Amino acid sequence: MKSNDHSANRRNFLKSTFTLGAAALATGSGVVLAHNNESGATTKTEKIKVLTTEGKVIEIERPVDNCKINPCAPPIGNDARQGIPGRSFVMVIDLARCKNARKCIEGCQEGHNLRPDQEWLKVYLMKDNPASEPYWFPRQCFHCDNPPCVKVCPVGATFKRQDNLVLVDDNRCIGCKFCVVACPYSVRIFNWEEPPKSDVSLEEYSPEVSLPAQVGTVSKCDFCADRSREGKLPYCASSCPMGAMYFGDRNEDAVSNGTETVRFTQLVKDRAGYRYREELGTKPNVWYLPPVNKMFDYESGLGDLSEEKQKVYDDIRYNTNGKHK
Amino acid sequence: MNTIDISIKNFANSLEKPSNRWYAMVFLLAIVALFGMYALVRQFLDGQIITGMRDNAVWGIYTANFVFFMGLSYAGALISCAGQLLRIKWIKPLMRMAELLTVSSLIVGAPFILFCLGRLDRIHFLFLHGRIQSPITWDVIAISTDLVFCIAFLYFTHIRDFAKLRDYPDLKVANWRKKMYKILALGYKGTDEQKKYLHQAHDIMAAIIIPTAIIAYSLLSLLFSMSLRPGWHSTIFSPYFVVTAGYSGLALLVVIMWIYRKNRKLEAYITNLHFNYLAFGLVLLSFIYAYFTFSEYLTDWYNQTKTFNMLLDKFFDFNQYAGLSVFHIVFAFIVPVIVLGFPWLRTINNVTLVSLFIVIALWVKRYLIVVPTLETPYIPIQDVRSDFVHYSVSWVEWALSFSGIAVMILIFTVASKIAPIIPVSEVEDAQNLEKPMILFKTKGD
Amino acid sequence: MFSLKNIYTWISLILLFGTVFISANQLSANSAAKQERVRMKLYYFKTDAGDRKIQIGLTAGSGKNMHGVKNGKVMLTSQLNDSTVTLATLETDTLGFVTLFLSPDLKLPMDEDGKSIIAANYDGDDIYASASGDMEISDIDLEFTFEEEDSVKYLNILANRIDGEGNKIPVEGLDINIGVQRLYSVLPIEKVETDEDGSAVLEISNDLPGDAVGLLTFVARIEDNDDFGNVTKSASHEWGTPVSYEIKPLPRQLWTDEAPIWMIASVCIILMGAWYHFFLSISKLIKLKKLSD
Repeated sequence: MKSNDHSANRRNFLKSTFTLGAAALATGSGVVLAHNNESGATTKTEKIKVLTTEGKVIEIERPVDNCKINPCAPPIGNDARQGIPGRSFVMVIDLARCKNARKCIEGCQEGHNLRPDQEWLKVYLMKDNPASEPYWFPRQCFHCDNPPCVKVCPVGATFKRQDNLVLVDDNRCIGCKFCVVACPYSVRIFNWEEPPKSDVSLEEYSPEVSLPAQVGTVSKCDFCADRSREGKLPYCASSCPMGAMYFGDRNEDAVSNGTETVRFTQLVKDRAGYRYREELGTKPNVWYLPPVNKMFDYESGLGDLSEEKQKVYDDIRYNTNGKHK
Repeated sequence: MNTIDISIKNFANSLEKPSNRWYAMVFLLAIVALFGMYALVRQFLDGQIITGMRDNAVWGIYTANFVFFMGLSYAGALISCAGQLLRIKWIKPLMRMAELLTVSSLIVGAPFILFCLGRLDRIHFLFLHGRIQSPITWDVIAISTDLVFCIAFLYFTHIRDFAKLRDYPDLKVANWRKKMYKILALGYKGTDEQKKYLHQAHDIMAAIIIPTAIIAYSLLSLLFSMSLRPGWHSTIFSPYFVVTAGYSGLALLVVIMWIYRKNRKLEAYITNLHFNYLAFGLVLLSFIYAYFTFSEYLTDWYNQTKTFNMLLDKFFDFNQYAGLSVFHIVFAFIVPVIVLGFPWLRTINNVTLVSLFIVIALWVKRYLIVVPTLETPYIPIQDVRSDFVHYSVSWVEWALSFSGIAVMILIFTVASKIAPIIPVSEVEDAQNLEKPMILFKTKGD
Repeated sequence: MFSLKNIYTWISLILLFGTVFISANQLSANSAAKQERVRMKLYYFKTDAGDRKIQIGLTAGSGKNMHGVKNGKVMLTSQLNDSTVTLATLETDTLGFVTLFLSPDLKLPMDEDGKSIIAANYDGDDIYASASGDMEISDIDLEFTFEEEDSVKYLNILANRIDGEGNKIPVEGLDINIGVQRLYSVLPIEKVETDEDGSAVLEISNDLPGDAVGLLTFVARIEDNDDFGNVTKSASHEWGTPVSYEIKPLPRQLWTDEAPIWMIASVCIILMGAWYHFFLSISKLIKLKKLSD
């Protein structure tokens, strides 16, 4: 619904050939020709070729039931203020695997119809102390359990749900930007100008999909709840070529990066997972695995960037700490 | 205090047919104000991309102006209400100017927070979906309450003057104005009972405005200190803002006094003494202000936390904010203390000039509160777009800022044509005031 | 000395021609090699719901240039002993895949052991070289049993191949991945190997969260097996810890829609106090006005 799945497929081609088994098994859902779609949402169909007992190949159309959460259609209006029952979405980011490939950013931008200069997900170069090595730090909305942004919203346009998500209702946002200011992680961005046109109409707007974007309102990472309803990982997690981003449901105690699924508790326990700036008391729902035994040299992430873009990392790389040289 | 010849006929002239100069001034101010309106319309149509605000510095001089104008209002409210409650004789001639300052800066300042809104068309959502947990809601409630109270108080202090104007036969003004005076005077005839009621209304209103204004201005600081950001997340912010507000408002009152004194030949009413007293107040406030500023920065500087240090470095870096910081320190503290502190420098003109600079320096201070902190988030900005890293004011924001100043002057220009800028009845009253005021009655009173 | 009479000259000439001829041959072979080499992979899937499908992937290039061969004609045949039956000729999709579902009651030609051989052939074209491949398929039946002893949970899985007559024969040494179904994927628990009875036992820990009633869906998977292809089988059992699916109303907090009571109360008190005084002073003015009449 949101994106061009076709190009996403193309991007994932490499991965899919190697993990075809898993991928194909996950989508193949039985030749039950008349499948009830209880959600009542627009039923997607797929055409399949079937070899009959007579030895003929016939093409039939059957509904695809991608629905993993009922209802499958993202809720509209005030219904979106309720969380998905029984879910507690979390993300775990393995900093040892990130090499600033920026595929997560591209996947997110494509999926959410953002301009190339609008990043819901940013990859920062971080350095914890002057002696340690810099590392790449992907940062999207942390969907905090004590969200400073939600506290300050004067109209309840941004809200916290029972399934951990912090979403923005663009139909209600008055654009005061107090939430942008209140977020200590600089997560939120503002639509300063008319955003690119979207296929989704304003009547279909759901805070879970965040489309269409509206000028003068705030937008941010929505954890792709609409994709979760179809059992799909968020764009960022599924685009990461390194499998650095694990997404999942904490209630199920499972997080997946698309190729590997692990227990959340185990992963965070074994790898000394931490939350960024725990001391702020915001209780984020994004965990980081420390950048130890990194798979890549951080400098490999600079390779494809222009000189101008590399310059913004100088402060971190040369320990100048924000001072002008 | 010497007895001054105070009579409505001394002021009748200033209320009658305006001069060409007056019309020219109104015209000029209106043009500046309308240009601001044009900028606002452009911003509404084109989106805030035409302002200098971007992600990171999502607030700019609109917010600084908002805080600044609100601050100006505070001093006026405090002076006029304290003067009323404490029956301070010498303050009486300044009361109307102080009240006008309060009301006009509230009227001009409040919209500045609205200019920040990306969706002005959804402004009613503030009431429709209002959340009481948000400091913005507190501000909306407090400021609108404050505005209503201050307008009411301004009107209360006008009633007796309106009655005087109604009863003054030689007043050469249009009939509608005479009719207006008659209605607005509420049939006040100066009987003892009417006097008593008016006095009670005055006192109640003055008593409630002081805490309202303090609350309103404290809440304003919460817009900042409730955010987890270096330089904002400070417990001292509320009293600091209140002191800054009083300081800037008092300084502007001096400037207004000077202008009216020169323009309307009010030397008999606004004397050296007033400048002297207010200069004393300014010195006192500049010390308190310096004390707060020092406390605020010293504690954070002493702790040397990472992000705050990054912010502090910007204040000391001449490529960044050191220029503005130095200007602020020199004109908000050093110069006032020297010029106002030594008697031989304390001339009326000097006091006024210093006051003007204090006002400007305190606007700069508001800018230094808002912008550098926004440019210094916890996660350092790594952006190639320079306008996203450094805020710069666009023409739209300048246009609206100057139109704000123009509207404020316009309010003064028009208001002082409606009623005498010196509250005639109040001053008259003060002359006969023998008994000290009674704050709380004791048994047997 | 260069003369045709010289035997050495003849020998040299023959060698020379031979060399030229061979290199020319190699050249022509090289021009044929301009066609890209194509790799063919055959997969067989049997899903939980009973779907059977054959999938054939054609890829060319390597590394970053690896891509699927689109619109390639692939002929699928079934081979039994020496006879070959053509099943279908299909075109690859944009990703280079051919997918053919087998109707539920279709029986592929098989030998007495129940083994079928599927072969695929791609003829190639100007750009891509030809490719072919085959695979063996046998039908397998996976069966779950759930046992609990002294509150230790044992998951039993029994693997039986089905021969040509429909008899079940236990499969020994078969690797089966056991996991539980999660929203996005299957969470692996352990890989087990069947014993001579075709069975494998796995202890299930007590701390696996299930759904609202504690239902867990166990998934057994055979992956890329030479005999059975890819087979999935699942079964649900209430062995998980229940997760509350109730939507609890959010507390009265700073970050929820409804404000804490104390906050509403204090705002009301302050406002009432302020506006009471406002109206009180207004009432004084009304009294004043009344006096004038």
